[in-house]
Amino acid sequence: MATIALQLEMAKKVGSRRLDFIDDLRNYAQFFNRVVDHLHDPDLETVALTSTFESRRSHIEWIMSFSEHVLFKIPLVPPESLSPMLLIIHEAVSNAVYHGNLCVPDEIRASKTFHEYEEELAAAHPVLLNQQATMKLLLFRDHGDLTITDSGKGFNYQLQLDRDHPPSPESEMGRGIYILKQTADEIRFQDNGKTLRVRKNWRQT
Amino acid sequence: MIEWTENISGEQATLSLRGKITFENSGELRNRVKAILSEFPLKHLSFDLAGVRFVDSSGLGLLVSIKNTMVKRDGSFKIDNAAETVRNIMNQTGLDKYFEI
Repeated sequence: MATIALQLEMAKKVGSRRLDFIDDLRNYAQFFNRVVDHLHDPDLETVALTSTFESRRSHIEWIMSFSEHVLFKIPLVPPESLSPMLLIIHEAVSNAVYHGNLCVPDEIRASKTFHEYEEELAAAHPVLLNQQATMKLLLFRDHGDLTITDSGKGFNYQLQLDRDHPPSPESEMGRGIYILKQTADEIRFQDNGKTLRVRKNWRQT
Repeated sequence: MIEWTENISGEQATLSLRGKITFENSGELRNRVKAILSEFPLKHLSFDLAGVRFVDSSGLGLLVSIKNTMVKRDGSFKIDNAAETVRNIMNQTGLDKYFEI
């Protein structure tokens, strides 16, 4: 059974709390119940969520869902910044897993469901699904930082970063990094594109 | 997670969706639209997005591909009741004009 690792650190002006989870998804509900009450604490100053997960749909849905819970429950992120930050997390995780780790070909994306593709990989190249990505999400009172590192070969990110206009409206792909650029205040690739760092400042929109 | 209900009548169909349209689930929705289009002589397809609170870049790609398909068969594709978060991402990517929302 594939495991997923998670660490949640919550710091207040006085004192801090750290909760760890390294297990398979069957035991996730218990962990979530342990965490959820701490997220409402009005004295929270920073929250750090670190997770290492595999390139499986179940893991991705889990990390997206958990990040959303943290984001929307803690008293650090103003309402107008919640959806943009969630969008950043989605696009960054998608980029790391589907492009970085799995290199899902465009023709597959246009013709198969992710579930079908995952089943094919499980039969033919199961090791690909074991490839990990590590995400670190830091949330402060005035901004959020996201760092995500994949296990792929990297890519020519400069072409994507230099693009100053969206793909043509008829284009069915290629909007992910453009959306990240438009939504974030800073975006930086490192290590040949295997690590992505994104900063989002909270402000009225 | 995405769920939908279908209302198909003559050359017209409306899918009312609830949830998020993301990479993880857009393939299932695309397959269902393909099946509907092969089964019914549709000219007008619309998505009611009142229950959709989030669309990522893959979800946008799916909506574009459906519109492209409908245009190719001399039909139309319309998006109704898009939430503010969905409108924002469409504005960012210039798709608000393409979908006329």
